[in-house]
Amino acid sequence: MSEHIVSSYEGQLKTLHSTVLKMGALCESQFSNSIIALLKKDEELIDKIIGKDERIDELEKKIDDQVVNLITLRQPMAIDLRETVSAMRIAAELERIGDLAKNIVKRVKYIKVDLNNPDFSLIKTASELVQNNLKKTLDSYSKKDEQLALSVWNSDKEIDVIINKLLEDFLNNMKKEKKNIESLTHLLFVAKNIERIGDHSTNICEYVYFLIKGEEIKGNRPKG
Amino acid sequence: MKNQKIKISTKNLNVFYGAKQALFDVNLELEEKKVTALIGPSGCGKSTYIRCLNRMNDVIDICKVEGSIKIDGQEINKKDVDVNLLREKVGMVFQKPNPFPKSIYDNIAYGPRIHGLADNKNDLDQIVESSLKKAALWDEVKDRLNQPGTGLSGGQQQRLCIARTISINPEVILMDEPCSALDPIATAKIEELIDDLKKTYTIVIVTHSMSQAARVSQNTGFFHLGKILEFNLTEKIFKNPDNKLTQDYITGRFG
Amino acid sequence: MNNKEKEIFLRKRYSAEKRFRFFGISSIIIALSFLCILLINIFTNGLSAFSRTEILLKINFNEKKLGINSSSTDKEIKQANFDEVLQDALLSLAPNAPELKQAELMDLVSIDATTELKKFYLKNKDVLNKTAEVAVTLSDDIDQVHKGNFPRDIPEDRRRFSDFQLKIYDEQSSKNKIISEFNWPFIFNADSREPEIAGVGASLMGSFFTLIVCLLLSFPLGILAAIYLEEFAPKNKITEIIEVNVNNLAAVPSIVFGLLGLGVFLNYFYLPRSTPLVGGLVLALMTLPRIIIPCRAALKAVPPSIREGALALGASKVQTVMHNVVPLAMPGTLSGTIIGLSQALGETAPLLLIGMVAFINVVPSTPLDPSSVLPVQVYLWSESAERGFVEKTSATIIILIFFLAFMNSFAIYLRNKFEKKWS
Repeated sequence: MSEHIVSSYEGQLKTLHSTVLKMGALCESQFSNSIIALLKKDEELIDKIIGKDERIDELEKKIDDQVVNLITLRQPMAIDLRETVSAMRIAAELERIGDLAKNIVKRVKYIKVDLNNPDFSLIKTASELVQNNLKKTLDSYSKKDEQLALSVWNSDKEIDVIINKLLEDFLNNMKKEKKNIESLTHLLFVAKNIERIGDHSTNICEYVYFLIKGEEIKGNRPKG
Repeated sequence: MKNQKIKISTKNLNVFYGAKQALFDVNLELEEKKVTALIGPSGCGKSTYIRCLNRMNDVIDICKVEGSIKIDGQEINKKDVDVNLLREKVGMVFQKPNPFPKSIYDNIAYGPRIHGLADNKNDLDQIVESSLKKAALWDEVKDRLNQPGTGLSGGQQQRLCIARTISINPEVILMDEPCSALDPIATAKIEELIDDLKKTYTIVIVTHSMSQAARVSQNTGFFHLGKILEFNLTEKIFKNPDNKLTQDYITGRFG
Repeated sequence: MNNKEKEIFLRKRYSAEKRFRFFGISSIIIALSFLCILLINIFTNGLSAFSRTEILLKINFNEKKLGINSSSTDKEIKQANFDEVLQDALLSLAPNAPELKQAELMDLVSIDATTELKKFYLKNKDVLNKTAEVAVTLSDDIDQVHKGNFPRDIPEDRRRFSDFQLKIYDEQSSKNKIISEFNWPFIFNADSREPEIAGVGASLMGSFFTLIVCLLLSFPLGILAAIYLEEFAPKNKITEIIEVNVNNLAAVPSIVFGLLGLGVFLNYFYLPRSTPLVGGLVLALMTLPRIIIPCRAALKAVPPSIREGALALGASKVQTVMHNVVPLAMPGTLSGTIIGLSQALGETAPLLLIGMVAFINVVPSTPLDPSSVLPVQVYLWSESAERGFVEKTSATIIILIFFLAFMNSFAIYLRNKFEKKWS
């Protein structure tokens, strides 16, 4: 893509793009840290994650401001319009991801089971998959790679399959060990949050695809 | 787009100014009672194109128009077509408001007079009033119809020119950058008027303002170096054009 | 460039500007002063011609001496001889004058004096056999003395009037019998060998008829030619040649047009010599390019958007031009025409060649009567020796200047009137 004639316009669009990427990187680390905190029950890390959530909110606000400014002052058209609009929508999704990560670590103190138990091993598998997807999603945004976005979008159904399997494992464990019910209820929410994060990344993939191709992804979203 | 009636169609339209070719094989089909916007960089041939549609290029000695231009299926690009009658059917509004050095009334009455559209003074009064009303100018000028048209503001002058154009009941109205000399409020009034007029007339508008093209038109054509590069629904052009040059032009990346 | 250099540079620029302004103002002042000198000269010389000097004489309208009676018809009165009563009145001014001086007494009044008496009598028939005081025009020499144009102290044998005449004039002057009044005969009379009764009436009418003929011919021809050339003619070699020739024609010396008039109108078509008709024809030829050029310029200045507007409404080419373009070009065309006409009004050379230089002592009543025109009258009188004709020359120039100024102001008025209306 050639550059704009007005370089300050070009600069504003680039700043917006990099702010979104920065926010994405932050959310990515919040999520992976939240999983580490969950596995290691690391109090210090939990506080750090809760503290950083504010930063995510600030970045979202900043992106909103930049988008409104661009629309008011530059009236972007075509690719620029899609860039601007999708930045705002991606930021909203990322903000939800940040919230969900925070919610995960808030539940850590109620989880008193050993997560190395093979009954709960799928939570790690699922979170790794979702982390991987989120990373690929952000890569697809940064590199404007619609094929990558499409592949992430299609792989979301694997996560859904795993989450369903995980649910089954949890229920079986609860039936065996009544004392685990409280912990596992919280763990269920964690699993649900991880699944939600996966959903938000697929949403982002849709926006990336729209940004690049100018149209929606064809077909219904695959459900596991 | 397919089930819309085609009002104007040009096939393999080539225009030459002396040795210089201004249009290259332009094939376009313009829909009836729709606003078609033509955009493109200066000198791309969009004005040349609309001036073919009412044969205004005939005025230029060295201009040669080749190819087929059909309005309602009738070929107009041939010797035996009476241009005066053609222009009665295809009106034109210009970039700079150009009211005649006559009163407001006579400005509107001029067309009906030369075409003999009014039998008596009453008829003529009727035509003048309805034309001014259609051009949303009646309330502003009804008390000073005898004052010179050149005494109006720029925006009013342009609406006067539109009223003058519709006074002879054309079927097509060509507009060559009608708002480029006007302030935003006057521009908005003209755009509102265009929205209203498209119920009755087929409108072709050339504009340099992309946002104006986006606001007023249903179809947009992008001209570049005398060729039509993309012609599509306006929404499509401004959201997601197919052609890279179109995208570069409308986003300000041309260079 | 440091500050000091900059300052010097700046000063140079400013002094260059001041110099230029100084040159501009001084050239305007020089031009204006020449004009002032010319005008002052003409006005001081010419204004006195607008008054004439008369002497009040006690005339005894004796029936026997006049050879008429109360029942005489106007025709008989016109044929009657008023010389004797005039002689009697003049002799009574110096009853004891020797016979030799009596002739000088006769020369005091204009040779037109008896005609004036006749006119007076025709208006006041009841003065028959009575004595009445009648104002009679003095001869031009005494007129000039009265206006102070002749010095009295030069020796008697070197002036055109005698000491005796001067004495009579002084006597009558002290009795308030010498009066001045506005010189209407100067405006209405035809030319004459006698300065005191010579007038510009004939040449005024001549100029008027000439201009009318010139206008009627050159205006429609010029405008139609200009419109055709500018709006309709195809742009090719022939129109180019015509264009160049029209421009050249405007620069052709006017005397050439006079020769053309002589050769074509007089010698070929046998039109009457010395008439305003031929003069008007010749001047029309001369004025044509001077109308075509400004008219074309005015047409060119009409914005093309007006033409496009009319054409786009389906107006034909002629309708477009006649309804919309020409009215806009009218102010420029009219002022161009009037300036062309005022040039024609001041033209002398071509008219000399077609015989309008003849001595005409009858006011013409149609363009087919021989006549003169104002500038030719100036030329004729400037060659005459009498002091009376000197002031008349200047007075004619004043009238000419007045007419030119009037026509030019009219041109400006027209231009402003039409332009104000539509812009």
